[in-house]
This record gives sequence, C-alpha cells and structure tokens, in this order.
Amino acid sequence: MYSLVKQRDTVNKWMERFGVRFGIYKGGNFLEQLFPFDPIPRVISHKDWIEIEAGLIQRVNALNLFLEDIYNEKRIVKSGIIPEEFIYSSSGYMAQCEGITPSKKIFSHISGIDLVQAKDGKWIVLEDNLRIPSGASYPMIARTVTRKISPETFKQNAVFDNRNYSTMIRKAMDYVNVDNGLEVILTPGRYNSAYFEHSYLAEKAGVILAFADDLIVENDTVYYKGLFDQRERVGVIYRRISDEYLDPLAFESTSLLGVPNLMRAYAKGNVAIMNALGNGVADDKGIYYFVPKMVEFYLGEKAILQNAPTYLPYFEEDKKYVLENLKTLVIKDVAEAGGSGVMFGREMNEEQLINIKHLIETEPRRWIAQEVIDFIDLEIMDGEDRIYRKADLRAFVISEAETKVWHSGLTRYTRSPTSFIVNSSQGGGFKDTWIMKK
Amino acid sequence: MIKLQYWYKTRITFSENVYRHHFLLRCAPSVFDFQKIIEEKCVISPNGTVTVGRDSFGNLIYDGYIGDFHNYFEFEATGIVQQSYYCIKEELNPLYLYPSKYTQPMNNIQKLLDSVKLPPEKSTLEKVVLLSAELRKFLIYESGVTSIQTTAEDALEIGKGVCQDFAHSLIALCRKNGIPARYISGFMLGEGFTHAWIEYYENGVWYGFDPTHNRCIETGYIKIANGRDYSDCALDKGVFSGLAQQKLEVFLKVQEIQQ
Repeated sequence: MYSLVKQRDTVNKWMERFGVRFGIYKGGNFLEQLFPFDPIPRVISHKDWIEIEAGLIQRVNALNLFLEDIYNEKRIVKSGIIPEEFIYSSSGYMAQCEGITPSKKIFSHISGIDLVQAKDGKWIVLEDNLRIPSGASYPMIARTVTRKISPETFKQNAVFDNRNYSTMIRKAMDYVNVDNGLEVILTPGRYNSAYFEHSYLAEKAGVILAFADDLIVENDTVYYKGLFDQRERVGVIYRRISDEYLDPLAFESTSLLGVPNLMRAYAKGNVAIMNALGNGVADDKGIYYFVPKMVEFYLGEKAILQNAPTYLPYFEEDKKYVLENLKTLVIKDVAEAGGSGVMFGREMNEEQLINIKHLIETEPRRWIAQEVIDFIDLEIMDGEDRIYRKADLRAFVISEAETKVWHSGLTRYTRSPTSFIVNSSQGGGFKDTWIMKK
Repeated sequence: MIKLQYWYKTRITFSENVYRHHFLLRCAPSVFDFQKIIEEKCVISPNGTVTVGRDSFGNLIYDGYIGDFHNYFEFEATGIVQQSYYCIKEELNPLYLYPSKYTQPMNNIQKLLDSVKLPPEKSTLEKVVLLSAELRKFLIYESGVTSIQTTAEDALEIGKGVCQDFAHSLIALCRKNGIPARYISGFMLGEGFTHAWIEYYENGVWYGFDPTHNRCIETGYIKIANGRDYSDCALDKGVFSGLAQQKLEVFLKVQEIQQ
C-alpha cells in the first residue's frame, strides 16, 4: 500500500491535468482548488467489507421504504415510532411530494453513507446523504490515474476495480427511465463545487450533461431542446440541483436554475428524477436517530451498522443528559450540512456553553448531541513524513432492481491535526479506498 | 348569505421585450363550505397556453406559458361568490401544527410568547384573540418596510409590517401554543390590495381570523389560497427570459351585490 508514495507527484500532476477540482466559496468569491490526493490508500479487508456491505444495503433499503411510507401512509408515525413533529418540522420534508410515488418506487437511487471506524474496529454510521451525495468521481479518477502510473501495484494487490461507478449510475438511470426517454445529468453550472464531477460522470456514463435551459416542460412532459431546438423526450434526470431550486414555479421563485413545471411532470410520473424530491426528510440529522428503528420496523431485522450514540433534546430525558454533559458531547444543528453547525462541547468557552444551553432549551428540535467517537487515524503523507489524521469514508449505495454497494468509496481526511471534521468543503484531502477481493 | 362581486386585475409592463415566460396564478376562489362560486372568469393576455389545475394544497391555479416576445403581461380575474359564515369542516393535516419557512419561532416569537399567559380553560378562539391582541403591542401596521421575503421573526425584529407579517406572526404564535393555524391569501370587501389572514382550527373546523384588523371573520373575505405560509399561497409568480424592468399595477375591488 505504500508503493504509490514515490509516485505521488506524478499522480497529482495527472489529476491536475484531468482537472480534478473542487470549487469553494470564500468571502463571496468562487475559488477552484485542487482536491489533494494522498497516495496511501485506505485498505478495507474483505471480511470487514462483507459486513459493511450487508449493513449498508439493509440501511438504504429501510430508508427507501421510510420515504415511501412518509409520503403516503405514514405508518411509522401512526405506530408511534417517530413523533410526527420530526417529519413535519423537518426542513427536508416537502408537502408537495405527498402522494407521489416515483418510478419503480425508488426514492434514493444514489445514497452516500458516511462512516467512521472506531478504535475497536467497529464501523459506525455518522450521516446519511440521500439528496445529492457527491464525491464518487474522485476515487474513480484517482484509480484510473494510479493504475496507469503503477500497474504493478494492482497486479500485486487484489483490489476490486472501482471504475465501474458510472456503469452503476447508468444502470440505475436505465432502470427508472420512463418510456425509454433520454437520460440527462442536470447541473447547476460551472460555478458549482461539484461541476467537475457532473461533467465527468456524464461523459463516463454516456448520458447528456444538461443545463436547466436545455430542458422544457410541455404538456407535463420533459423535453431536451438540443442545439437546434429539436425536442426529445426525457425519461430520467439525474439532477445535481437541490429540491427547492428545481422548479421556480413550484418552489423558490427567485431561482434561475430550475425548470418551470418540472414538478408537475414528475408528479404525473412522466419523468424519473434521481434522487427523488423530498428525500431531505430522511437524511435530516434528527431523523438519523431513528434509522436503526426503521430497519426494525420495515424489515423486521436488527440493524447491522450502528449509529454513533445520539441524544435528542426533544426527549426530556435526553435533554437533561445533554445539558449536564455538554462538555463531552458534540452538538449538531440539524438544518446544517457540510460540517457547519457542528460544535464540540470541549472547545467551547463558558459564554458559548451558556449560549448553546439556552438554544437547546428554546429550540430542542433543532439540535442533536452525540458522544465524540474516538475513531481511528489514517496515515497520510506530509512532505516526506508519514503522519496520522482523522478520516471518514463515504460509501456509495446504488438502488435499482437490487441495492448494490460500490466497491470503493471516498475517504476524506482532515488537514489539521486537532480537527475531527472531515468534509471536502472544509479543506482536507482524499484517498483512494481499496476493497480487497480476499 | 351575501353575494360578493370581485375584479382583480394585474398588469406588468416590461421595459424591454421578454420571452419564454412561465407564470402561475392563484387568482380564482375555490369552493368551500362557506363559499360558493356563482361566476368565475380569468382572462390572460398576451395569448399563450394556459391550463387550470390544483396545487398540492388544493388551491386552484392557472399556469401558462408565453413563448414569443412580449412587453406586457395582464390578467383580469372577475367573478361572483356567495358566502355564509366563514368556517370549513375538514380533517386536520398535522402539517399546520408545526413551524414552516416563514413562521420559524426564534427569539422574538419566544419573547412574545413569554409575555402572554394563556389560561388553559380558555377556548381556542379566546386564545387566538389574546395572542392577536398581544401581537399588536409588538407589530405596527406600516407598508413599505417589509417585503414578501420577510419572515415572522424578521417582521417582529423591525416591529412593523403588513398583513402578510401579521398573519405569519400570529400563525407562529398559534402553532407554538398547539393551535393548528394556516395562511390564507385572498380579497377583502372594499378596494385596494390583496389581503392575507389566518385560519385556526378547533374541533374539526377551520375558522377565519384577520390579525391585521384584529377581528374574527364572518363574511366579506374571499378565500383564494391556503397553505403553511406565504410560500404556498403566492398569488402570482413568473419567470421569463430577457433583461427588463417591470412596472406592476394592481387593481382590486370587492363589493357586495344586493340580492
């Protein structure tokens, strides 16, 4: 696993030539930076993987059943397992999606599940991303480059190939495609942090990269306009635009990104949208607490993968515990994503602690608290030295006729030695993830 | 029983030609227990494709598309409704019990809630009346200070606002006290602008309350749309291509017709 270290500069040069970039907004300006690649891969043993894979499939199946239930019968609420408040006051719940069943009943076609490995070796789920999980293209392209530069590495190590991700996406699109229409990836444009990925995936999957302007809805049917305004029926849209910007008439009217009346075409079942609208209700940080319960409720099984120990101040007992143990916990704002709104009790001064206590008392539904997990450090190269940093793993789960886990994943690590927050929008770099065949 | 006749006319003049214009209008009343439609018409120009449907909250919508160049957009909705006492029997959607985008309770709402004690033996109506009376101490009617983007919390921060802000604030207060409440867009007897008020829920029935005028609604309010807050009930929305300044003129008149 160290064989790529001496090739590090060559790999990074190639990545630069491929244009592997990550856009961020800093002080109102859009900057594109290279997403640094670390040459030491994360290696996951075959034995570990078997369990992770089974756990992920189970989890995502339960989440898909949950979404179908929530936008229809709401059995899990009626059974008293999830308080209705957690559904209706979730910023990801979309009343407009009530009663809509998407093509083939799949809501989350591509799920990005963030895991960490605790020091005792156990894998723990930190977060589910069921809206637009991004980042798969980085390990894909890193593998492409490293295989070229060091083919012998992959002769000596029996690693699952990961360059099939685009094929998996394509199969998922084929599966839900309505009336065999065109398949498009809808991008908000080049000023999006993941634009590189949109264009790369479109090319690799052999589908059209479309901007909102390229699509038009007529008679509740979506058409791709093309260069000469010829109209071709669209059957599936893998959209990389968030829900509220998809349709300026149905949602946010100040948006210029969306496609007017797309929501109506979708509601009538004339187009598949992946991932479905309204998925945010299932990856809300508050709902996360209930995922193991969903597995039991919908599948009648015990959850294979565990959550981090989580407390909901919404429940009196939990609130009491959280207020008393604030200093050892990590507090998260359920409405925030991407590592913002995450606060460690041990880093807060007295004033901040009083502040957050007040917020938890007045808006209990807005917060969750978790025990800080002591997760393993991974080796990374810092100049010529090997040092240890915190890292997580985003596993990608694809739901079509079957639910499958991509045999790789995005391993992200922190730059700063004291940080526990691993997120591409907060700096840091990535590693390839090797899943061993034996 | 009264009969109300309404004229609702909007004209947008564009400084330059625009095209690919999509629009969505909530400009026609629906049938409710208390409201019958005797006559209803909506004329939209320039000519485009228009379809009539319902949104996910059951509101009547006209939506359409004008592809060609045009420099104005106009619609004229007219009709006659017959009304009895404002109430709607309906099964409760729990959605209306919880905060929504415009009605998130933060510090200002909390402050207001702390300042008013609602005796538990009071009826829902009495509680709404108390909350509305308290709200007036914190929010003064003044137009031009807030916009359609202003949330209840923001309006209370400024301390001034219009019907939309009064409605959002009272909804937030009701919901925080466990009273289901929803936002209503519509027309009020007289001449002027479109109006917003709330409905609160008690024992299987929605009743109307107008926080701007601090009164219960009996008749004279033509209900157009309901939803969680303004974002579900905007009366007109549009997107178009082209760089143009817009000038908006609205005319609205509602009068009672003698039987």
